[in-house]
Amino acid sequence: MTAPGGGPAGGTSGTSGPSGTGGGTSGTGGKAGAPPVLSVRGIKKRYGGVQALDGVNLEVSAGEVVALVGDNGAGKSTLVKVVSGVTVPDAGEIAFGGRPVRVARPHDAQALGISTVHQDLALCENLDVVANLFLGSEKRRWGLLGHLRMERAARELLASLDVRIRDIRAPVAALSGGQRQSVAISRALLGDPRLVLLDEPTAALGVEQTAQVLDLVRRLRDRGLAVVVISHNLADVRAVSDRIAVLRLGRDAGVFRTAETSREAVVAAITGAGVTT
Amino acid sequence: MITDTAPGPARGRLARFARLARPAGPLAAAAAGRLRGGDLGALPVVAALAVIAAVFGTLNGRFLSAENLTNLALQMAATGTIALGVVIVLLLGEIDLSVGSVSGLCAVVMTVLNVRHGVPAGLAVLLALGAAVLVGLLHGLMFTMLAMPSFVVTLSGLIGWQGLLLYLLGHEGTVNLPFDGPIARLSDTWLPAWLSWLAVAALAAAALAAALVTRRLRARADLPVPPLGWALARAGALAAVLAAVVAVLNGDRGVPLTLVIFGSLVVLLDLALRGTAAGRWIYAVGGSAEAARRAGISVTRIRILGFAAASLLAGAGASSPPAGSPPSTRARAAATSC
Ligand SMILES: Nc1ncnc2c1ncn2[C@@H]1O[C@H](COP(=O)(O)OP(=O)(O)OP(=O)(O)O)[C@@H](O)[C@H]1O
Ligand SMILES: [Mg+2]
Repeated sequence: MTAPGGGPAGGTSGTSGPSGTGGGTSGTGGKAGAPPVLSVRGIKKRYGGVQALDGVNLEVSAGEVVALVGDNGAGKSTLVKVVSGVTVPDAGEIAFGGRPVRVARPHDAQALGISTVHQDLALCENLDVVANLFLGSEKRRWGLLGHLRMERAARELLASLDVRIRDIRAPVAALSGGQRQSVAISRALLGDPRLVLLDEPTAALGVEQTAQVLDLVRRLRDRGLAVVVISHNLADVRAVSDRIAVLRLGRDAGVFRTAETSREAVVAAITGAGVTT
Repeated sequence: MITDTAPGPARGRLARFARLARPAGPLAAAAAGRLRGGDLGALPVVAALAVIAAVFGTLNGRFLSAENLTNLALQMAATGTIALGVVIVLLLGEIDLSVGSVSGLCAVVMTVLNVRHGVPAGLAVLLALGAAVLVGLLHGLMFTMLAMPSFVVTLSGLIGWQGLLLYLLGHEGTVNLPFDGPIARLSDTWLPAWLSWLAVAALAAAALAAALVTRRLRARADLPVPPLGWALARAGALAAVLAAVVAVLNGDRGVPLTLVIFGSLVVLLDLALRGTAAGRWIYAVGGSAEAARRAGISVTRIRILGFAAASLLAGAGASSPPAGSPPSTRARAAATSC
């Protein structure tokens, strides 16, 4: 689906049948005509001796959930960091809403409306929940923090997401792993994003909370946001995504329409079974 | 829903403890929970001070006399001001070893300008503080741009600024401030008793008013409100502590102006750290620089700001000279115990 031209041969050829990546270039789950919210092309990133990303492409449209899957070390988090401005790629282009953009700092991504839940959550353990939720975008008046406005907005946000935290004035260090993850996800929803990147958002969550997050992802899609979800749980991925993009060793390994793809085909793309590289 | 407000599924040891302790409300329960969770707040410091007072008071009867405590208060003002700067750098998760030298350097700059070059005292103080800010900016730039560890930067600052200080002093090795100059007078000004008591009353009233207004605003914003007794108790405790200090100090020469200035600085810094975005970002960078960066905060700018503020406060500590030699290690001890 990505790179209609000389798309990554390894990715498309390996999987049998249902992927159909070659043909339907226009069929990115979104509405026809409008440019995709996010379109990255040929992203490369090298860490020392590791080529973490080697010419990766990805497109996400408004109202679409794209799942990004791949084995450990495939480069999923690195791609998320590139799009969110946390790391600067060695090569490649990013277009947002059809216009080429430069995302050199996290601030640039936020300004565009890209919000991210990182795999390592990136919370300040010494600050309380409210402070973490609003970190970097504090409500202010005359240079002073609006403590009450922020606390109120935080309570409303957490309640609307059904996040249960006993004392939102206690430092985040006192929260459980799942609660921290809930805080990180809530944080990503503040301030009207257009694109939400969720890097393994359910990794630390219990059954019920996982279902809630998946439900939340669907609600975001219904609100017209573009969502990228990374997960190792293929059942969750299939339950929530419109398309599945597979990364393998830093390269594209195919993009699949979730509804038309068997679980085996995705697994084969992830593991590279049957691919001769 | 949020279990703070509802007696919902209160689980775990913390909740049980909170119920056992019969707290006055959900916020008190949270505070009790934090205490139970190992967050002792200022308790260890208070306990240490009590031990120090008891030990030295028994060893030497004059230790707890009004005169000695007044002298301690005078020394505390200078050391404490310098320590405030160190606190900022410690909040950033870094260390500033140079504050003693910077403080001494500022004292010398100010004195040399004032005494040898006839610069008016006020201007000399401002110039010295400006020099301190420049020193701090230099530290911050070396730390952020050259990626030198703060330990190395400020250790070289400790040695280097001491050298500059000695150079500025010249052969004689000392410059004496005239005893009747405005700077010396600053450290020999004492509040009359009535003014001290008025200040105690005003401060306690202000604390109470602030607590009541906060309660009102929280109630209006539908947020959990701390019990009224809590606000009263805190204001009462503040009044009691301040009254005790004033009573002791009035037994000697009265409340020194330098102590008032120091106290104001403490309150101002506290308000700035908790009430402004820059203050919060200082905590954030100290907690996790990477998380702060990903939140879009300019970590570099905050770090440079922190080092500049530390040097500025070190300079400010120097302009109350009675403490004598630059009290670098004392300041650091004071900061780490804060
Ligand atoms: N900061 C870094 N420094 C050096 N190497 C890195 C860094 N970040 C990632 N890498 C390397 O890049 C490769 C891709 O890592 P990445 O975190 O993107 O994988 P991932 O697909 O998210 O894996 P996982 O499923 O385990 O989260 C790995 O080989 C990793 O070792
Ligand atoms: Mg990852």
